[in-house]
Amino acid sequence: MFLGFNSFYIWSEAREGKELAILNDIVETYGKTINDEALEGLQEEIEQKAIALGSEQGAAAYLDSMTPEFYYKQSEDMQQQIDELSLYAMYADLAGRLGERYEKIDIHAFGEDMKKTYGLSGISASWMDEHFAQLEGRFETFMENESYNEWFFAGNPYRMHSFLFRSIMKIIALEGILLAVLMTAYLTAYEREQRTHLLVFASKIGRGLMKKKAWAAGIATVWAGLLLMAGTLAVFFSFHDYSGLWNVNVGSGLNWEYQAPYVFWWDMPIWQYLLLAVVIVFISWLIITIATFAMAVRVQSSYIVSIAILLVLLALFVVPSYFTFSPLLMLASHFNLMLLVLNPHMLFNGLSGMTGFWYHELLTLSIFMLLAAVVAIRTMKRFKRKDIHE
Amino acid sequence: MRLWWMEIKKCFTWPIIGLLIVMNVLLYSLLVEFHLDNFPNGRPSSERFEIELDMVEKYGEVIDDGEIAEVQREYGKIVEKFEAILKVHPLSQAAGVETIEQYREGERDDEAFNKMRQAFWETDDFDLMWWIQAYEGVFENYRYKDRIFYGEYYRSAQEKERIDELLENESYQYYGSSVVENFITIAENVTIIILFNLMILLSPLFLRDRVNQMVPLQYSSKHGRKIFATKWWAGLALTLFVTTFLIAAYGLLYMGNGTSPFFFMQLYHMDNINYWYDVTFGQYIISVVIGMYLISAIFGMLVIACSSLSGNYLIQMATQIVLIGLFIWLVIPMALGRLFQTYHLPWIVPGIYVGLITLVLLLFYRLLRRERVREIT
Repeated sequence: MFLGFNSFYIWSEAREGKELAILNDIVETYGKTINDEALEGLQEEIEQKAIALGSEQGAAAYLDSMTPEFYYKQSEDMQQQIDELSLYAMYADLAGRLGERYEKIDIHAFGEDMKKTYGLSGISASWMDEHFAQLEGRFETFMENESYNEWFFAGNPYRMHSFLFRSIMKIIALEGILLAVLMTAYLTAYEREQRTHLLVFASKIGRGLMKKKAWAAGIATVWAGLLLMAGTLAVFFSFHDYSGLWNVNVGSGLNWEYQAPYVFWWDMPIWQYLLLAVVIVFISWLIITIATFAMAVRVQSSYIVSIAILLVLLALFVVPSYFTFSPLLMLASHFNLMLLVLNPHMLFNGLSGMTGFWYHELLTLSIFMLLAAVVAIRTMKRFKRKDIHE
Repeated sequence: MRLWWMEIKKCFTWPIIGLLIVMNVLLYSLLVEFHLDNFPNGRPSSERFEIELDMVEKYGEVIDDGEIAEVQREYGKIVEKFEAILKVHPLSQAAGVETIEQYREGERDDEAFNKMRQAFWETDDFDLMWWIQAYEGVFENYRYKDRIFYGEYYRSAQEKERIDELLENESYQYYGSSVVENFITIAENVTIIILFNLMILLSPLFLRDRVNQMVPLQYSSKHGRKIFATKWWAGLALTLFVTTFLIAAYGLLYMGNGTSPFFFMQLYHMDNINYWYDVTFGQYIISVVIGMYLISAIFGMLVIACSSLSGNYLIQMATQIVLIGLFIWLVIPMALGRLFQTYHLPWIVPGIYVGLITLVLLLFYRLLRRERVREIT
């Protein structure tokens, strides 16, 4: 059911498929980096295309003089060629202006803005200063290497990064959470709900059953997750051709979607970013599985447990907005599993507000893994000595 | 009757009550709080709302040229005040700005001008500018009142007819649409909260007995066969109780938005969306509340039906998630959010209600029949 929904969603948003494919042609001809040579070549190709269309005064003037009346009078084939030409021109224009756009970015000002909007002071402010000083250093090397000079789907208007990670990956993550919680609660409370607990937990081997159930829940989560993730991503990539783009830097300047660009903590190709996002989502699922397991061992009612865990996760998402009175608490509450899972497009991004810290992802996952593991182990120890009763 | 009361009590166990309270607090702050605290949302909407409240009190729901001229005089006073500030303020002096036109059309590259603008943004002096913008919104609305229905944009022949009718009767929009939008958003979100409550409360109704293997015991007695109907009535009563309670609570909170002067105004005077019928805002609110009751009752019955059909909590929760998804993304926006709107043909929304109610009744009938002859397993 989830897979069907995801496929439908991707299909309904996939109208730009043909336009997007043009970028693959560009990458194939000019390589993945944007340099003077590539820009010149592209410009030349644009001029040639314009001449082929019967223009005499050059591509830019030709596109400028384009009117809807003229456009709709052309044959369908011609219209397609005109579309292609204007897309090429758009990419050439965007790519040519990247350096200029990035020059204007002032990381320090972003930091000051952040402190102002959240009213940070004291420790939290100095923490923020340190973070932005670090980020400034990172941004300088980024600018020196000109890492932004790589081809990607134009961030504005297509927003493919947001579509893949913010929409698709978030939906997958949420569906996976639902499945993980339901399955784990069901498995763990099964004996009690089927009334076999009096028999099973009376024996020595039966007491160890819970450990096996923990493994089973983990494996079930991973399998369900794999099915969901692989199925959805397969549908996604069959609609959108990334074949030439796997090695493109995810921080590419063309991947600039809103006011601020993505400033990732290190240069990584898209396949690596996707892989890391998938791994983070899987680890989060496992953490949630462990937490659900720990609670289900104690409470032994799959209904109460699944609702309670889902509410706790909802609370994790809502609670940071309550902490406007204390900047320190707010900062702490942003090391938050749910904010991590629900914002896969902001992973490793220095400019993602309070979740932008260096190693934020690793730290968050470790904290929650540790918490869940400690609770689970303590519960298991307690369970070993627990009385059996009706 | 005693069994019926027992069944109702059985649904409110302590863990469930605790979970319900936590869930309501969370969902309230996630879905409703914003629309209650931030109405009217932002500036100049808040100024505009104040102006319009004033206008309703003075001129009523229909505004004519004389009345708008009166409003324009008030606007003139504020413009004068603002220009007086411009004339003495050192920053505007430096930028050479003395009139409102100059202020508005100033060069963006001019440094002195930008400095002044920035300062005005940050200090209270700019407040007057918000008022000016708000007034201009009102005038704009009035100036284009007869074009606001966009006569040439329609989705169906019936909609075109309705638009022509509205234009013919001079049913123009005089007031901004933020009041209606705010109300319907809150109504939709409250309905979502009600559905979540019903889902948690009603899911165990039949399932608890099945999981505890009480069903064979019940089936072997004659009275036990009737328990199905008793439980069903208990579920219906619970649904009505929860819905009434939550609608009353949120209704009281909504009154805090202070939109009561608009209750007797025709909808077409205060919304740029077209409606099939001439209803006042108050009648519209009542219809929406009836819609909320119907949707809650339908959903509650579906939860109960699922509860009697599914074998364990895993299946129950999974079907509930799909069901509530369908309601949140299809039923509520269509049957409640766009109630009376010409977005759908006039028969579609009533059709949804009739269809869903028939479905629920059929389901109940089938389940009741099944119950009488069911094998004890």
